[in-house]
Amino acid sequence: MDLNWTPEDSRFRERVRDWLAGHVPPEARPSGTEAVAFDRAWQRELMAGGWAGISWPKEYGGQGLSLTQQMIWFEENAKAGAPSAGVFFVAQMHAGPTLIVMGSDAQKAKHLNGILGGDEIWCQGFSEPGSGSDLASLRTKGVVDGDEIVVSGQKIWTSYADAADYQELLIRTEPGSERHKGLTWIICDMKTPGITVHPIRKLTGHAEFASVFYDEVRIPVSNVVGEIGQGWTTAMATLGFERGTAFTSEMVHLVLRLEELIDYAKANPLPGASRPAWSDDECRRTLARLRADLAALRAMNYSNLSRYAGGAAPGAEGSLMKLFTNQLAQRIERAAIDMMGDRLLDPNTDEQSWLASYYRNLVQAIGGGTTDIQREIIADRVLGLPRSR
Amino acid sequence: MLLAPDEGQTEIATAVADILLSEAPFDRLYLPDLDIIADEQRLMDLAIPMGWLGMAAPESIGGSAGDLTDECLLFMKLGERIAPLGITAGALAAHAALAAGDEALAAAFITGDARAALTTSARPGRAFATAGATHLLVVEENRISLSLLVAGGDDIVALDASSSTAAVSSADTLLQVDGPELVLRFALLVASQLQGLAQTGRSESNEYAKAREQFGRPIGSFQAVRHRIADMELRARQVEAQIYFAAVALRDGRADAELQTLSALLLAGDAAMANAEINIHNHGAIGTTTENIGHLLLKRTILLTGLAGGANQLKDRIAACAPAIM
Repeated sequence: MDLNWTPEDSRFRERVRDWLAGHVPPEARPSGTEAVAFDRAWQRELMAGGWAGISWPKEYGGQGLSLTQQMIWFEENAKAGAPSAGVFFVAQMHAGPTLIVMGSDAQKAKHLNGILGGDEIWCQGFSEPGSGSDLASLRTKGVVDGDEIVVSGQKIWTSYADAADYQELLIRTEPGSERHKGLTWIICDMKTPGITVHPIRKLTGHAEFASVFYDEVRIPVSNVVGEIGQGWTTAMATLGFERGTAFTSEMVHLVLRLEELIDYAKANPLPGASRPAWSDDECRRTLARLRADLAALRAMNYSNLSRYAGGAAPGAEGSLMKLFTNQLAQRIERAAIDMMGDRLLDPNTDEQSWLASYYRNLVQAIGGGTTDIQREIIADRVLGLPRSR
Repeated sequence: MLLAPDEGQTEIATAVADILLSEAPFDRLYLPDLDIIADEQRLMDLAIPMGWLGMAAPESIGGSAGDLTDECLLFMKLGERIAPLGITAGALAAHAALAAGDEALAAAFITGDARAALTTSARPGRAFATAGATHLLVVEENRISLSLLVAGGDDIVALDASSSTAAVSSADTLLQVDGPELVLRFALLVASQLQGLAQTGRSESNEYAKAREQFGRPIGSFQAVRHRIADMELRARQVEAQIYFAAVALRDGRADAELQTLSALLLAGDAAMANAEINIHNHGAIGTTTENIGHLLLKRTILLTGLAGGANQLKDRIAACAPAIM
């Protein structure tokens, strides 16, 4: 075993670091509608710099980097405080990879360049009011009518629905079908008549996600990705596309965030106290324990990537990583809140950012599969326990 | 960068696990028939010709010339089966003798001509793995030393009945090694065994949850049970990865070796403890009896964490470290 990087990878890291130093915008990502322009500008910067599509194959305009170099890219981005994909997340990390694996030549030609160039924003149309953790129970229906599919129903928790140009939409096209059968994955142009977007305000105060209603929305059959009735296969095709590198950003971010909190504890007292929080045994030991946990999160990240780089197929370790990452993020934010007390309530303080990230992490323990669903996946696929459902 | 066992390491770990499965089954430790001294002697006589005490020692003194990651993998497997602590003591005694320049004594620990018992500054006056021991290895905060073993009175009945233990009195130090390196190595070998214990707790629970039925279904189909076992798995994997990281950091003399090693030890202690407790609970009433391995996983965990120093002390030392190198 070894923690050293090859000379080639070290040179790559230097190159990434240098480029980021000259290009990361100094200002924070704005909220609301200005976020779209900010994210688009960054995506175009990446494209111009030759960094678009880090995990995409070269033949589709991506960088075709090795897993190690992808990881280095994400590490250096997090260290440099570079913007995340933002509104381009679904397009970059999910829709694009799905088209690469399952799309027709025409679909690839139409969308992939636009996604990399920051021209196409995509949103996801999977969850429904009655189908959250149990996604396969979804009921939004599609009726084939000649060369069109007529869609009626409702999706919910659709991030950036109002900004999106396209949606990856999962619908039931076989009447009476159940569970994973009879579903279809289709590209939905968000400007199609019959689509209504109702924003939902989150506990953060922002309205980043929405309900989307479909009233006889007519979508060309040629927009189906994969086969009609085989939408579940298409939806699962990109599982593991990232192969674990996506956890790297969050891991580095949390490490840096904790060290920031430790510095804060050394400089600021606990509520109602006069000595620095760091001199309080319970507070200091809570932070020390988190330091140990973060070391392990990083080690797990490296260990998984080592196995994938060695040829192992990515499996349910992703669920272990997501569970651990969500839990740790919540514990770090919670430690911050306990330490900062009523300073969090003053909107003019720096401490405000900790409250915002505390809220955000409550959301992240739900999105992309709740922590409970992650435990189910671990129990099914890692432990081989009899199914609960 | 490679932070996973390679093919050769996986093969060796599997071979060790197979040997221990047949030679060190858990029912060997069930009361009331337990003769712990005979069991320790038998397993030491197995471990010595297998070369386990010299896994990471140079060939010049009869070792296998593996590195710290090889040694950690071995001790994870030994931990899984609650193997005698004499293996830990002997392997470390060989490292200590070698570091102090006494190659003949180092070689004697590997061949079993010398055998070490173990004590730490956390448990003065009491040693473990005393059956058949000739020497006493003393681990302090920043020093490891060796002396001849001098029994200091009656044998003590140990909490962990799977280790012989005795009162010892001080004797002239034969050699000592100052500095953090060997002490951190001790910490990592303890952490590795705690990882093995956490792994066993997880595996015992997992097998039982598949076999045991209530309400007409295996209990592993109930979310209250399966989610607990998923958390046990997460703990075992966290510690495993952290031990690999720490082993490389310590082997290569990285500046964050102390932080990484103490983190591994802290997490390993917590993981072994939590998994031992939850495993007992998962086994229902059987888990609370001596007819099941559960209690010994718990007792060995308490013994090892006690030897290695308490959690608060570890946290304070982690807090005093510089941040990890990123």
